[in-house]
Amino acid sequence: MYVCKSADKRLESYIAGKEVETSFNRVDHQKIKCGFGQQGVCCRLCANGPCRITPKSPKGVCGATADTIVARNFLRAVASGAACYLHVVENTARNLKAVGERKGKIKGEKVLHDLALLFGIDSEDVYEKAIKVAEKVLQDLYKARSEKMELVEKMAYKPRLEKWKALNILPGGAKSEVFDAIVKTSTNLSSDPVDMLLHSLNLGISTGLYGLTLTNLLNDVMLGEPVIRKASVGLKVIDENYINIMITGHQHSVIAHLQDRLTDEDMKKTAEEAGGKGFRLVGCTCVGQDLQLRGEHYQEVFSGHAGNNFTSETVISTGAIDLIVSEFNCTLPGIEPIANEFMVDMICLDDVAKKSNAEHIPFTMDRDEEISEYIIEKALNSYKNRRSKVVLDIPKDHGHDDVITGVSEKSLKEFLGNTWKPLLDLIAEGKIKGVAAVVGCSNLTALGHDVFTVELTKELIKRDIIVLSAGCSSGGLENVGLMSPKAAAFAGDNLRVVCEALGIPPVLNFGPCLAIGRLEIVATELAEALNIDIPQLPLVLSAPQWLEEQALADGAFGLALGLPLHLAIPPFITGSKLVTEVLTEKLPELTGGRLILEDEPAKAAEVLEEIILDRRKGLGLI
Amino acid sequence: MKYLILGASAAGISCGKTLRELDPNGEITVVSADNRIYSRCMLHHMMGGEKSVEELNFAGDDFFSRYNISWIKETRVQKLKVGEKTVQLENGNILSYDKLLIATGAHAFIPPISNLREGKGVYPLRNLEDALAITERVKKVKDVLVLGAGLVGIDAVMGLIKHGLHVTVVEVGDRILPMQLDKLAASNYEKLLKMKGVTFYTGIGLQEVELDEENWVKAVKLQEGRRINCEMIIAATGIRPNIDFIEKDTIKMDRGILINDRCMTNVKDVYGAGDVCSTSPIWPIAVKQGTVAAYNMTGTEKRLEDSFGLKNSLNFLELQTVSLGLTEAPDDSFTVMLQHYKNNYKKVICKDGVIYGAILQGDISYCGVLTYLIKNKINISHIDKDIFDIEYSDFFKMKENGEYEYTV
Amino acid sequence: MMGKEKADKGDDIMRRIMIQRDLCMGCLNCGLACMAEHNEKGKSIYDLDLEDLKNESRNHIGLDKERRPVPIFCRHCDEPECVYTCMSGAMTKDNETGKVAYDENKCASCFMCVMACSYGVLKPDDVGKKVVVKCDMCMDREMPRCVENCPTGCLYIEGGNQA
Repeated sequence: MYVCKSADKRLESYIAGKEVETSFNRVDHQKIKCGFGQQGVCCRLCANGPCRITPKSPKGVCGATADTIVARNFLRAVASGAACYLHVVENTARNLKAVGERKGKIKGEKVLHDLALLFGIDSEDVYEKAIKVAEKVLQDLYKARSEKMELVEKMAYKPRLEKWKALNILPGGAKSEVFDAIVKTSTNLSSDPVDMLLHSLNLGISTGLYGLTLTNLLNDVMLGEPVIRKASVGLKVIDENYINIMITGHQHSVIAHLQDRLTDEDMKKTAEEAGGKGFRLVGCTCVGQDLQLRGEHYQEVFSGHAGNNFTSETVISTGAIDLIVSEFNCTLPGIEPIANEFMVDMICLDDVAKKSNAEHIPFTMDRDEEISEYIIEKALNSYKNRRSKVVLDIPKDHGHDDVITGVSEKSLKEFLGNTWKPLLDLIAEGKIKGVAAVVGCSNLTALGHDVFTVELTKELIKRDIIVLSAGCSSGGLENVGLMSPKAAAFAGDNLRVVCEALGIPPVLNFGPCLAIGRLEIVATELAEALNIDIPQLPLVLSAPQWLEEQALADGAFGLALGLPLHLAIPPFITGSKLVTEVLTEKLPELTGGRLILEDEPAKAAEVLEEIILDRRKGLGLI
Repeated sequence: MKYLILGASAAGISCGKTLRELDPNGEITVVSADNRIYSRCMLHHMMGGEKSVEELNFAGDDFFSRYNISWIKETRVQKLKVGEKTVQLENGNILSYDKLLIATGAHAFIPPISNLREGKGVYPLRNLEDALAITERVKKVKDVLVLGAGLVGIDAVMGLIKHGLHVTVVEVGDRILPMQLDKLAASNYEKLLKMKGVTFYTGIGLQEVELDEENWVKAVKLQEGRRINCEMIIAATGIRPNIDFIEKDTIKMDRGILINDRCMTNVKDVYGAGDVCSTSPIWPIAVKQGTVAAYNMTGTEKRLEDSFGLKNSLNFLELQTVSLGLTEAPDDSFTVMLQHYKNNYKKVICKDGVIYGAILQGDISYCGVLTYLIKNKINISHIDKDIFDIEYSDFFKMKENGEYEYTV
Repeated sequence: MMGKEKADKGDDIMRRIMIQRDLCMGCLNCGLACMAEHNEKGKSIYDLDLEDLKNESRNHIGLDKERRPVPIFCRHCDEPECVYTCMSGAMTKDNETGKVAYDENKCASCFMCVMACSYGVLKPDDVGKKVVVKCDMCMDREMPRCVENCPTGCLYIEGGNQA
C-alpha cells in the first residue's frame, strides 16, 4: 500500500508496517486534484451550476467572473474558519463565566487580573472578575454587526488600530460579521471582490483577537499559565500500563475537570483495581498541544504529546488507547473505522465535532463532574473489555524526551529576564537575523506529512532566523527533534551559539494553533518595545502546510497585522488575477501584510530571509 | 515488380509512398513534368510571400531517397503504349512497367475569349511556374483583373492583394465562390475583400481583351460594355485533365479517365488517380486514390470508400468557411435551418432526416462530424437535439483498438 | 506475399488513450491537464491562466443526446483523414509510433483537416485562427497528462508494448 512521505521517518515506517488504512494511504487515491477547485473557480451557489471558469467560459451563467467567484469562495472559507475559532472562544468564555459563578478553580489569577485591568473591570472578588471578564468577551461576540466590538480598541496595538479604522475593517459583533459574510457570499449577492477581501481581513481581526488571543488568556485563567519545561513527545509517550484516554480538539477548558479529577488519589486505586497503573491523557492534535503547553500543572496524568492531526489515526493503531474524547477538530473521520477495529469507544463533548460512531455527551460546566465520572467509567470498562482482545504495538523508539515546551509570550519574556531586551539585542547584533513564525496545520500534500514545514524550518534556522511555532506544525517539528536543544546543531553559526548558551532549541514551541495568538502578542510587544509598527519588524509568518479553513482565518489576521504570510499551497485563489494581485502585491500598501505563494522550501526561505533583511535595513540594522 | 507513376503531386506521391510501404523491394519510378514536389493549393501563399518555394513541398525534401524511388523530373510523357506496357518520354526514352499509375493531373483552361489566349500578361494559376511568373510580373503593374471567382480565383486575389495591387474580379456567376457558397456566405467574403480594395463584377462575362502594340494586356471589355483598365489578367477559369499522351480508344474517358473504386482503368495494370480522372479534383480524393491504387497495384484488394467531393474549406482574411454538399435547397421538400450569431453563420439543408448540405462560416470547430453525416447520408431523425448541436458524442463507439466508429 | 511485413506490423496495437465513457463525469480535468501541459508559461496548474483564450484543450468533452458526457479525444487513426487531406505536409502519420503529428510551422491554415476529421476532434485555434488544436500525446511525456489527471479511470493507456 502507498504510504505518504513524512518528515518523521520513524512514523512513516511504522505506518508502512501496519495494515491499518490511514490518511497516509488514502492521499494517493486523492492525488488527482480538480484544477478548477485548486484555482478556486468552481461555483456551486445555484442550480445553474456548478459553473467553472475556462478560457472559453470566462463567466458563470449568472455573469460572475473569476474574480467574483474566487473572492466569494475565499470569504466563505475565511468565514467558516473564523466561525470555528469564535465557537471555541465563545465556549471558553462561557466556561470561565460558569467557573466564576460556581466559584470554581482559578489557576491563573494574574492573567485574570491583567485582563480585568485591560478591560476596565473594577472588582475585588476574583470570581466576580472572572464573570465580568467572560461577559465582556461574550457581549462583544454577540453584538450586532453595526456595533463595533469594544475589546478590539483595548487589545489591539495602536498603530494597527488606526490602520484598521482607516481601512474600515474594524469588526462589529464577531458572530454577526460571520453571519453577514455568509449572506454576502450567497447566490447573486455581492460581486465585489475587493469588498469581500476586506471583509476577510475584518474576520481575521476577530479571529485573531478573540478566537486566538482571548481563548489562550481565558484558558490561562482556568487552566494555569504555561511554564517552560522539558517533556517527552511522540508515540513513545503512550504507556500501555495505563488506562489511556486520547483527547482530540481545541477546547481545553472542556476537559479541565476531567484532567483534575484524574489526579485524585482514588482514581489511581480505581485504575489499579482494573489492572492499570492509573489514568493517562494522551495528547493529540491541538488540544494535546495545549495540554503539553500547560503540562506543568498536571504532570502525573498527562502522558505527553503523541502527534499532530495526521498522526491521530496512528495513535489509535498502537492499540493502547482505550477511549477517545473529542470536543472539536481536528478529529478526522478516518479515526472512526480504526477506533472500531481497535474497540475504542468514542465520546464527543461538542456536537460540532460529532463523529458518527461517537456517543454525544453535550458538555456544560454545570455537569462537568457527572461527565468526568461518565468518561472515567467508560474508559475503565473499555480498558477491561478490550485489552485482552487487541494487539499492542507502540514504537517506543518514536519521539524525543528532551523537547522544550511551555513557551508563551509570558514564559519566554520571563525566561529572558522579564524583558524583551536580550532578544532585541541579539537581533540588533545580528546573532539572530530575525524571527519566523512557522505555524498552522500539517497536511499531506505539500511534499508530504510535515515535510515542507520541517524543510522550511531547517532552511530558516540555517540562516540564523529563530523559528517560533504553534499548531500542528509544532507537533511535527517536535517529533523530528527540532524543538530539542540538540537541534541547535542545525542552526547557522550565530543562532547555534545563542541556543547553546541559553540551552534552548532554535525552534520554540508555543503549543496549539490557538497560540498563534501568543506569537502575535510577541510581535506586538516587540514592536511596542521598539516603538515601531508591526510591518517594520524583521518578523515573518509562514503557514506552509495550512490545511483547513481555520488556517485561512488565522492567515487573514496575520495579513491584517501587516505580516508577510507564506503558504506552500495557494488558498484556491489563483484563478482570479484581481484577488491574487490584491493579496500578493497590493496588500503591502493597505495593511503592510503580504501573501507569498511558494511551493519550494528553499525558495520560500529565501524570500522570507530577504524580507527580514529588508526590514533590518529599514531599522538601520546591518 | 516495376511500378511506374506518372505525376508527382498529391496522387502520385501518396501512391509512391504507399507502394514502398507495401512492397519494400519493388522498383518504383516517378516521372513528372514538375521539377519539384509542391502543393499547388499553396501557390497563393508563395505569391503572398507567406511561404517560400521550398516550403511548398508537402512530402519532405528527401522524399525520393527516403522511399527509394527513382525520379525522372522535368520530363513530359509523350506516349503511353498499353499494349507493350511502355511509356515513351519526350526525350525519347522508353520506360516499361508492370503496373502503371496515371496521375498526370490537369492543366488550366483558358476560354476562347477574344485576345485572352493571345495576349501577353495573361496567366493561369495552376503550376509553380505560373505563380513564379505572376510574382515577377506584379512588380511592374498596378491593375490586375482576375477572371473567375472560384477557389483558384480567390486564392489568386489573396496572393495579389499582398502586393498592394488594385484587383478587379469578374465572375459569370451571381456571386463569388458560387460552387462553394450561398449568397450570404459569399457576400461576407465580398465585404472583407472590398475592404481590401478589391472590385467585383459578378453575373457578367468578359467580352474581349484589349492589347497594346506589343500585345500586352491593356484593358478588358465586359459583356455589358464597361471597359476596365488592367495590365495583367489571371485566368482562373477551370481545368482540363492532362491526357494527350493517351492513345484514343485505349483508356476509357469521360472528360477525365474513368476508374473504378479500386482506381483501375479499363486497361489491365493501368491505374488512375487525382485530377486526371473524372472524379472530383480535390486534394484528399487524389491522396486517397493514390493510396488505394498502390494497394491494388501490389495485389491487395482495397476499395475507395469515400469519393465525396463536394466539400471545401476556405480561409480568407481570417474568416473560415466549410461548405459541404448542397449549398442551396433544390426544392421545397428540403428543410433549411439557419443560425446567425455575431460573425458566425450556419446553414444545414435536410430532407427526411438526412443532411444534404451545410455551410459553416466563422466557427468551424469540430465540423468534420457534419462531413461524415452528409457524405454517408446518415439518418439523424432519431436524435432529439437541435441539429446544430449534433456531435460525435451522439454516435460514440470505440473499437477494440481504441479507434472511434459510428453507431447509427 | 507482398506487404506481409506491413500487415504484420498492422496487427500490433498502437499506444492509444483509451476511453471508458461510462466513467466520464465531465469534470474537465483532462482539459485542464492538456492546457497546463501545453502552456508556454509553465506546466503547473497554478501557472494556467483560465481567462486566457490562448490556453485551449486539445481534447474536449461532448454531451450526447441523453446529456451524458463523452470524451472526444484524438485517436491518431490508423487511416487518418486529417493526414490524407493535408496539402501542406503538416499532418503526418508516424508508422512506428502510430502518432499523427502536426507541425504548425508547415501548416497552411486551410483547415481541411478540421473538415475531414469524422469524429469532430479538430478545430482552428480560437485566438489566431492559424493553427489546428491537435493532440500530440504530450510528446515525450511518459504518460499523457490528461490520462494522469483523470480522476475516474475513464482515460487510460493501452497498447504500444510490442513496438
